[in-house]
Amino acid sequence: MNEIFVATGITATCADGSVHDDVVMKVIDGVVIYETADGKHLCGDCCVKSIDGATFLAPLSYVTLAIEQYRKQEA
Amino acid sequence: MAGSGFGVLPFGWNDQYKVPTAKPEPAAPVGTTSTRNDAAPQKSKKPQAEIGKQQVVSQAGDTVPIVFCKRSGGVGGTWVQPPMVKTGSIDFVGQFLYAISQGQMVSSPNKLYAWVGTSNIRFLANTGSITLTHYYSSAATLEATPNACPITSGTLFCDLNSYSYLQPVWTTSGFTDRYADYSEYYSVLSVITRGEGDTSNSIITIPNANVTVYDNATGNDVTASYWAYFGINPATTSTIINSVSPGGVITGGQTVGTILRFPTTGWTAPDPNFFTNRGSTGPITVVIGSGTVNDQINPLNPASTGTLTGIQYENQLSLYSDPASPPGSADYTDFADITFLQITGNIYDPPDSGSYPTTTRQISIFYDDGATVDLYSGGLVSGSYVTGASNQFVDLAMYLFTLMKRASGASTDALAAPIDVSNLQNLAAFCTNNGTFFNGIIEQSVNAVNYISSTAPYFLLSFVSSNGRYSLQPLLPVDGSDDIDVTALTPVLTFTEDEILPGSFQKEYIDADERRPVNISLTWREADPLTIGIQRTTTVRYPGTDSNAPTQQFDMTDFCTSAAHAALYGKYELARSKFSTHTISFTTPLLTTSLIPTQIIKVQRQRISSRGDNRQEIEWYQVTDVKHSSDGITGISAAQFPVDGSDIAKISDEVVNGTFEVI
Repeated sequence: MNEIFVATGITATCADGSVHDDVVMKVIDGVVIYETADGKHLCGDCCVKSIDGATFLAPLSYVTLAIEQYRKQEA
Repeated sequence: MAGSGFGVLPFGWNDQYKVPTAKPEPAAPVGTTSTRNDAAPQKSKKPQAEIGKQQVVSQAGDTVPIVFCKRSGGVGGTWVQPPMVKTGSIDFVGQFLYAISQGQMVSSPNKLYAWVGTSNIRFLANTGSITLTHYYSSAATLEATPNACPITSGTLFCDLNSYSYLQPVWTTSGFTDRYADYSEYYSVLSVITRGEGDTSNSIITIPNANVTVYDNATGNDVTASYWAYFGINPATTSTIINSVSPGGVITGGQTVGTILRFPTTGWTAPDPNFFTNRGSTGPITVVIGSGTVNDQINPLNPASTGTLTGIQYENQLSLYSDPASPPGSADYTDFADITFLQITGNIYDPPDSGSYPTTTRQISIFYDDGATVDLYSGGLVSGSYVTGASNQFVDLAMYLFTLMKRASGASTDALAAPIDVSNLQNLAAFCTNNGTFFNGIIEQSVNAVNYISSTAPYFLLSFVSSNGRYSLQPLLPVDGSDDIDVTALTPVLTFTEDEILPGSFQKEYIDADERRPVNISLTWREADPLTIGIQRTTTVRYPGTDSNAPTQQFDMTDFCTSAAHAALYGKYELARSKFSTHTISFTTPLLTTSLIPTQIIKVQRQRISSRGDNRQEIEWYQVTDVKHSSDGITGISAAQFPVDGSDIAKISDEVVNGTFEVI
């Protein structure tokens, strides 16, 4: 399994308006996942729309690619 | 005042008295860029005095050289300073591709014989991780499979649009990331930690508010739309580089040399909307401002004791999802019949403190044996010519005609060949006996006929045209053992008054100034595999000639690797100048014999004096030109080629047995 942590400490706002703190963003085998501290994946109705307070751990170009990939997954 | 005779120049004055005037700058020749580029001394493929210069990079249109050499008996071979045709970086290991020679090189590259700048690659500290590999595909192979790139290393590719490169180091001062065209290219981004010593607890933090994004095409600042598209608030987010973050928790910093790859496997596919999504009309430049180093990001561990310089990006790009498997439409036939050298390993310039150069010094490499050619020098073996490296001038001449598709070793039909091949084996033996070998590089686009004609004399050969074909002939008569003949000669033809058309005979003496005692200076090139080939000079003169007498210099550095070879030619020049005092020309009724240039003739003429003391002049000549004209006469030009009382050629005897000072 190939796992890359892209960002940590994210305050994520979902499409449904919910806000989640301490979210990490990672890429596992090419699939982008937002994961809350309690292990919940933010997707579907809680598709992440905006990011605050995050620390990016990967190159910015890769972070943005991951965000786009996530959007494609959720589309 | 016209006609007053004052202040008016006489009519036609300007025609009679040229007044020196400045001339306007001549117009530049058109369409000669490549020729001038090839001729530039700094782009020469022969070793230059400054071996530590920066690597020469070739460009489209440059001439691929011909490395023609064969080391035999500890003599010969040649040094090459090849131009770099492509470079790349895979996992931060340098990849360098050089065009060595047209044709397939016989010798394999040897680290011990290869230098980068002033450093021998065999003795570099990282020599174990450096590899040198030749790649070659024949024209037939690429004709059959045009998309089969000869460079099969998997790290460099024929395709112009498959490449990789290193970016500058991203330090605390910031970084300017000029994005590749991710809308069209498959990509891989790798990151390496740069620094010294222990960096295991060091990271650099950059507030995203310090990031500015520009549209390359317009120069517009598109930062706001960039962040807005991703829903990222730059004021509350930051980027950390060099972190170790298992599980998303930063536990320390990467150690120096650690490489991370994004994505971890495969390539990121292009996104046609990559840039428009980011608010730009096309590719962007991301300018990242300064950041802050934290040498103890994990307070549970001690602070790093080393220095984190930053990180460095390596970009791999390709229009194809797998550059090693280009589509069938790819055509790499331009790479046919060229030997390429790939060097894999970090041969970059030594870094200064905290710097990571991506440039290299000039590669110099020695080859024992050059390109494979048809060995006409060996004659037919079971009906065909053996192929291999050669140092015989006759093989080079035939190779040039082969490249022009005017000859083929596979087709031994002598009648179809533009060159008479019947004497090439003997001429090769003649050159071997004289120690005159070709070990060098043809590095510019040359006219084959001009090149062969101009170079042949240095091998005591002459390239002549006779009976509708070219042929190579020895400049000095040859005996049955293919040695210079120093026995009594027999002229091919003797011309008397009866054969010379009345009034056609002319004799012209060579200017005495050209026959003064001189020092003949001959430049040649050393071919020691352990020392980059330096240029040497050998001087030949007659005993008693002042050292400060005029000097005639002959440049043999293109092919000569032996002082003895250089000296032999110097002796020939001196002997010819000493004994051959004049030339003649005359016409004769149409010759039906096959008299050709270089052959020796005798001319017997009656010298009629008004005083009645008529006498017969007998002189020997070497034919320099034969012209047959449609009016039934043949014109002959010849240079004096005197013999002694025993009919032994004086020039030949002097070359073989004469006394010279060789310095």
